[in-house]
Amino acid sequence: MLDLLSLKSVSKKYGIKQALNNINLNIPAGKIVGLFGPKGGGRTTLMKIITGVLNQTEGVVSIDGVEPNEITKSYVAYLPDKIFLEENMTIKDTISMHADFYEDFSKDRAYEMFNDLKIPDKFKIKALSKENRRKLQAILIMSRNAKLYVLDEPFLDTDNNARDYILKIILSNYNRNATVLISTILTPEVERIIDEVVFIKDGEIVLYDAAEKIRNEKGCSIDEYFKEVFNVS
Amino acid sequence: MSRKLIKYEFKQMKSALLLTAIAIAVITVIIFCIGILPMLVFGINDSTAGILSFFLANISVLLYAVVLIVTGIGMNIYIGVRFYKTMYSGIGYFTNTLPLKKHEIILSKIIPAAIAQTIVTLMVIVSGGIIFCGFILATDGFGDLMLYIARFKGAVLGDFTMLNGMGIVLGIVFGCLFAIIQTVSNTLLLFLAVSIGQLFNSNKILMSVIICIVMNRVFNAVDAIIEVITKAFVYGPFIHSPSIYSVITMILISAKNIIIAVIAYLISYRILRYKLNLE
Repeated sequence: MLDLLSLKSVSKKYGIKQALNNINLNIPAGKIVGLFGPKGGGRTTLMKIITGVLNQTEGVVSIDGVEPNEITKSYVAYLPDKIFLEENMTIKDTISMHADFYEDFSKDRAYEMFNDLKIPDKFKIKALSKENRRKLQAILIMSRNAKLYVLDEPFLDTDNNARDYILKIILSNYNRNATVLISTILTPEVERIIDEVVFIKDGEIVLYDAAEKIRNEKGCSIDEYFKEVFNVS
Repeated sequence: MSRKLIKYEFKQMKSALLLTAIAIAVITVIIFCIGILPMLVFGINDSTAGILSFFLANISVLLYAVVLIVTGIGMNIYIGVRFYKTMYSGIGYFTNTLPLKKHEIILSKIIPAAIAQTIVTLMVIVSGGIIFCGFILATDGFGDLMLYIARFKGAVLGDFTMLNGMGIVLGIVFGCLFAIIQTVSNTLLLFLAVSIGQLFNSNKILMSVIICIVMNRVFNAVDAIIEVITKAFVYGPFIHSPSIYSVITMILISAKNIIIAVIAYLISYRILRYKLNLE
């Protein structure tokens, strides 16, 4: 089976700082992969390279056999850790804009999710709270029928309710044949949904294995094992 | 696809353009009322009211020039900030993950910005025309229309003093062509300044501003050198037909602007393609 996402000897340097060092990963389609590691470990850099926002210094990245470019961008849905919405745009225009640019975007699905927020779509983005902006971003990304979802800290700056809402959106809307690469803090809810685990530290992959295998072999939860590997109390 | 991005770019710029149009209209009316109207009512004879109205007119025209310069700079700042925000800050994550080629993305940003700059320039020309006509009417009455059109051409086309000596139609055609090339080149330079500024790890906006100012100063100096050279080699031999001097100077400056535009485009493309450094 062809891996959906493949990284071979990928390295990235920012000046003299080595952000990623010889990353090798092969992720098949149809998996939810959790990318975990301490802050500054290289998670965001790795995601930026996969989505074509950043170029690697060395190595090869391929998504469905193609190096990141404008073609892969049509089937990779990227939720960055930043707010990417234009403040002066209305919600309606923002949804229409996504529908205009991405052929795999479902406007109906977007409105189905958005209507739960009980916010009129004529509102401008700047009228939304930070949490609602995060929710809207998640809605926009998960309204796509992508092959690969790259979700960088989808629960950043959110409370428990918003976190549950975003998680629900992700789980109930992703394309089941697609791969979801999610970087977030480990919570029992997140742990329950992930099929595979990647630990990354100082720009290097420390571990890549099936979640179930880790639990069975180590006799503990992923969260507990994470704390053990990264010496987190 | 890029047409869609251009459409959205225009939609976002619409309110800024509308605001600029309103501001220029209001300023034009104010200047007309305090500068031109008293002259039309009281005349510019030797009476106290006449002298006062002439004095008011001169002050208001000066004020008007300042306001127009501020409008031009303001539009440049707006476009620069917009480039930065939509390409290199949070919104940049959306822009740079669109299924578009980098060339399409750059053009989708440059074309609306250049058109917006042109629209603002046209607004300024129309406003300038109104004030100028009022001023001419108040001082001379419309005696020699062609003379005033020629004066207007000289005044509105501003520093394009090199237009002097050309026929009116030829002057306006050359002036427009020259202005379009200048606008596109300036817009690309603005884009380049912002693109270089984002390469820095901190103070990205400040660095963009500094780079923009430095580049403008350097290229203004190049313009001045071109003028000096053409004056030395062309003006003398063709002193009886100054339009030749004007045309050659304009062609040289336009050629310089085209070269700058191409270089700015290529460097911006390379930065966007290989050196993107999103916040």
